Amino acid sequence: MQVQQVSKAFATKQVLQAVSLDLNQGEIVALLGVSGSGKTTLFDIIAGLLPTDSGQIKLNDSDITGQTGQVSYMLQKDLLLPFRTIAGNMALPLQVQGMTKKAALAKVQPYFATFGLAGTENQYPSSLSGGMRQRAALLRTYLFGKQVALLDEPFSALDEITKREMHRWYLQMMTQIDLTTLLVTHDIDEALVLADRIYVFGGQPAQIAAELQLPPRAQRDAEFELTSQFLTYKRQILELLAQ
Amino acid sequence: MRKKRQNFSIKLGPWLVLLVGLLLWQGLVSFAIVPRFLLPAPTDIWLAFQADFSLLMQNMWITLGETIIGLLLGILLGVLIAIVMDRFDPIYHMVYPLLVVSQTVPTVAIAPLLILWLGYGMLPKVTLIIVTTFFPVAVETLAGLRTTDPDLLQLMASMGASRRKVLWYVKLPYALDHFFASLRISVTYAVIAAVVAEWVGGFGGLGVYMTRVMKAYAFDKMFAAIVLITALSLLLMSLVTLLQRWAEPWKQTATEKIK
Repeated sequence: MQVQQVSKAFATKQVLQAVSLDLNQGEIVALLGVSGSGKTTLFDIIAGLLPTDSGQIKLNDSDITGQTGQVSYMLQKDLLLPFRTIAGNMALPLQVQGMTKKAALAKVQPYFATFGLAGTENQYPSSLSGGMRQRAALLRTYLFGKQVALLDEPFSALDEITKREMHRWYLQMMTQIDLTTLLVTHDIDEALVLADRIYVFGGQPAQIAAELQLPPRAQRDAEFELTSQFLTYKRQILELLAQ
Repeated sequence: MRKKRQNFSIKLGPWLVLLVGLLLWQGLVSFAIVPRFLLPAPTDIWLAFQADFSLLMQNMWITLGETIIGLLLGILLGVLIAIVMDRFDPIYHMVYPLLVVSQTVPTVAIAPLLILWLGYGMLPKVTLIIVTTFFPVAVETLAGLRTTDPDLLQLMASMGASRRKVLWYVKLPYALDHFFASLRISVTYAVIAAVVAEWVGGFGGLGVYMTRVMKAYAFDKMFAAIVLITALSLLLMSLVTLLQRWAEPWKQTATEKIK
């Protein structure tokens, strides 16, 4: 997927200035920036919820600018429907795509174990922990069935320990499913742990300040966060964000 | 200990107050402080209720029938209006103020007109019930539809969901709470509207029964009818509670967990 020269202004305020980025299949790419920097606006544009002033979104070389339903989008909150069971919530994206409820429920069944949600099928979201709800929201996003998933600060509402656990879980998940992820975050550590590449996003109006290629995942183990290499990356990002 | 006392005052308190009230009432009449022909004692009302039981039941079924038909149509109309106002903003702005104004007209004033226009049969009763019940349902359901989490609507939009699917999967279930709150109000309105319409003119029903016993100065029977109407309203309200429990099973599990 490619984002080409996207600009956007609200009234007289320029929010995005010629933002370009690209995603390769299977990659996890982080879009890192301070809160209120226009990251969510960019996501809304990619998801087709907001029109662009200029620029294009391309998916497999076809233009999807302004089209909804082309990518899987997960917003900050888990947004599980309180009146549907977890299985019912998972069936929602498939029902939206026209499947009957019965067929959708049957289709989502095998994914519960993969996503560590076995046993929660018939529970309501209110009885699940924050981490489990987030897993369910991620599964629902995945079940929408598009190649590219946009995740808008998916772990920001979780406590530090649960968040780490979710990071490990997510990376492990990614080895089992075929999904390309564009992740919005303001958490530098999270970006360094999860991403293959990082786009640093900043300025007024926002633009891509830098692109960082991280070492291959095989070289980043649980100790990576404690290495001087990690700190070098972190310092570099902090300097970029301060500009 | 304190908790227990609280529990007691919540559960038994109202019954205790009712009992004391009834005893006071009985005393006032039994000791002839208030003349019996003006205010019948609770025991008199009970005797009248037993004496006129079959007649009361016969009239109750008529009132209940009108109430249920009128209520169902009122609910249907209310929900439809809410959906249309939610969907089309211009209609909302045009219709909503008029709806509010329409509610300032007293039902007692419309009832005789409806009888004149629609006759002495069931039609004017049902119409009056629709007129009084659709409003709370329309306003509350609309509020429910409009308070749906905007982020959730964004999510549905990002999936490319049609309006119909957004309404069906997200908005209507979200409006259920509001809907049931309004239904509780509408149910009592419906019973009152039925009785008022019968009172003004008709061949049967508790309202007609009341006008007859009123003219005969049979106040004990009058009170018997009032008690019956109250019981009917309470019964319908508890039916609404049961219906809500059935329609919102996710609430059930949440409260059970707290317990």
